[in-house]
Amino acid sequence: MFGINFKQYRQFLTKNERNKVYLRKNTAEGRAVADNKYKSKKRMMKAGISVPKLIVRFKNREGMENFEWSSLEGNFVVKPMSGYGGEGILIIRKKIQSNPSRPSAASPLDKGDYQMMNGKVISLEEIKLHCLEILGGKYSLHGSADGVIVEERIKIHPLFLTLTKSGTPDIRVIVYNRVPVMAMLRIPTERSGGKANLQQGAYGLGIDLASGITTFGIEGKGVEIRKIYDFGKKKMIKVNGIKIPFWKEVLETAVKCQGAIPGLGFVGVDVVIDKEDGPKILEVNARSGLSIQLCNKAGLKSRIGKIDDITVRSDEHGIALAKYLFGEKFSDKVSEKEKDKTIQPLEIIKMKIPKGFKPELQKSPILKQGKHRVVEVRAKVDTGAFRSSIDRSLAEKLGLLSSEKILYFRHYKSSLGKHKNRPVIGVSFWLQGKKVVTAVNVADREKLRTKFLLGRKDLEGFLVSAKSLNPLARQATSLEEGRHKLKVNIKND
Amino acid sequence: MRKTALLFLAWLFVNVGSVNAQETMETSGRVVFKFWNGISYLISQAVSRGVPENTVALLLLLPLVATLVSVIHYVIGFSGYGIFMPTMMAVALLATGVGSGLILFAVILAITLLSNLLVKKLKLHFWPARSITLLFVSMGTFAAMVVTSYIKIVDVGKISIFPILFMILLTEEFARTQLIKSKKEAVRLTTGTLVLAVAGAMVMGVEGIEEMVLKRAEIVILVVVATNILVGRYGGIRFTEIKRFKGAIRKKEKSSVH
Repeated sequence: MFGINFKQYRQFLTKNERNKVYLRKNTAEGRAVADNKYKSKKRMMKAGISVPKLIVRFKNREGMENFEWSSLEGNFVVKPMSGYGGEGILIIRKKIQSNPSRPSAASPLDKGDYQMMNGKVISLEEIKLHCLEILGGKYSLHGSADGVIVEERIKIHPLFLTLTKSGTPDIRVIVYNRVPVMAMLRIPTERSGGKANLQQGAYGLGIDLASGITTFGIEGKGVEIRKIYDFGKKKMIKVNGIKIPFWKEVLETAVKCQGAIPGLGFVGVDVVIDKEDGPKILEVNARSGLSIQLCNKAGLKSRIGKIDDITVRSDEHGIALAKYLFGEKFSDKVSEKEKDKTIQPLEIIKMKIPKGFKPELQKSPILKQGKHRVVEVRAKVDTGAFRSSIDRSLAEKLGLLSSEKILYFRHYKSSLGKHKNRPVIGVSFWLQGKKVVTAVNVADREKLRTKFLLGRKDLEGFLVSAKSLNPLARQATSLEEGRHKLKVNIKND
Repeated sequence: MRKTALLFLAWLFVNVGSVNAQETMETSGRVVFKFWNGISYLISQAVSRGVPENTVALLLLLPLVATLVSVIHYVIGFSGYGIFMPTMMAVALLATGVGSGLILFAVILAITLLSNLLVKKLKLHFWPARSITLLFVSMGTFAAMVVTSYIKIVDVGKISIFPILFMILLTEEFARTQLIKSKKEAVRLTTGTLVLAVAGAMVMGVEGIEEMVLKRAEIVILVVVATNILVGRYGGIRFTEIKRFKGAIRKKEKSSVH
């Protein structure tokens, strides 16, 4: 219709759909906690999740006036308790010693001035006025009276310091039913006034959930960007390929955070990374924005659909699901110019052995791939299958089939039309030097020669060729052997 | 439920033309009571007893305009300040006339913005600052009324306090958004509200629509209910989102064929 392929849009979570999910998954109680920064902070602390330290909270004017402001030496943040969209937040960097040569007009009493993150100078009187405005409800949703939170400013991780000079970048992770479904790095810009909110004009960089490496970028709520300025290298760098530090911990913290607030099934968690303490929860959003889909170039709706009916056993299970189901298909070094690699119907893949597991293998030697231990496995390409499958006994031997490693069970129709409830597990392997992190189903291939079947889902970027293109350079020994055997068999027949 | 609503609307469009209005009316224009037109009958009785016809028509048109606003919001994706602001503004514009209403609004908005600049310098609390702004707006509107009574571009007699109040409310929202969000956002939402209000005012101003809603009140009620059930359950994409998500669709890798 109208020359638009509506099918392509079905993957996205639209506003109408988001509001439905929000109402279905988040109870009134959960929403109330998420909307109140003080309450959510208390819950986090109770659950043992790291948050920026609370300095003081003001419920009314008296509390604000009685507070010993001179005890603050800088590095604090003033924010409304139930603000939204990053409005009304003051980030103070340091106290400026009063300078006699520059009499401050704004504060005749000269109680000291502070420098904000954007370099501007603000007087204590102005900070207090700002607090009063917050208390008066200037930044709350319906102009109702609000509280003020003063908390410590986190120490920005050096990597992030090279990406922005105004404000603290943070990581938004959308968690649905204990599974992180999408993430982005939000980088404040001068235009956004040091705030990490996309609607204020910050940059959003999509992040691959499996590796913590950035993928695509947008500015504000839609304009795609390919490069951003690196203040360390003093030049433009690509938006993709930036590795987020503490990635595993970021996901763990985000998932734990959802568990700490009952009644929130669909939540956007904002995580900041402290130079020393690692990930800390900044705030939680019950009604997360949708632009995260633009910088990831992926749909939330289709991702949610994949995990909606899975019962997540633990936080680790949730993170494993994210890693194997939503991981990007790129090699370690992202390069767009890289040509499609040609593979043959029979290939040797190197399967990763889980850390600390002692595989019981008789024939195959354990090899090294980088810092990982791998074992070579013969695989058959089957473009007729969507997901790859692995033989049950092989999976067991490699230590991939223990109960905590199983992602979920699915009904599969085998080529003979039989329905089977097969477990799906997460695996990592290298095919022609390209690392593939994916979910495969476990099948009984005991009587078959190839114990691994490569489905088309994991063959993105590969060309399957039936003829041998470069027989000399390939690891063809075992393949040739197989072919030879085949010939012999035919002859014998 | 959704299917019922859809079927009902389809049935209505087929039938609304074929029902002969004369059937249920006497020559005097009074509604004759039939089993299914109880509300219309009641309205006609009330009007004959002195209830102002115009007000009853507006009461029935309000939900219709609100429905229009919600359809535009959820299906097209175009919106202003909530649902009531455009609806109220539509009524205000209907009262003043679209052209003169927009001029009046521009005047009030200009005064608000100017006074905000002034009040900002005084560094007052939020509410006292707003009160002073309101004072300026009142004085300014009065001045505008005096001026127009001389040059007669706007029919002064049509300007009552309620349209002015709605307009002040809207400028207030404008100032608030500009203050805590951005000017761009404020302009976007305010023009959205005005466009919706003009559309609403035009719908309410259609000739014969008042008579239609008075004589066929049941149809209005059912249309409002059915449309809102449909729109209320709509989970699909909004028109404006098509453009938004266009860039997020991954292009299939162009694979070179050997």
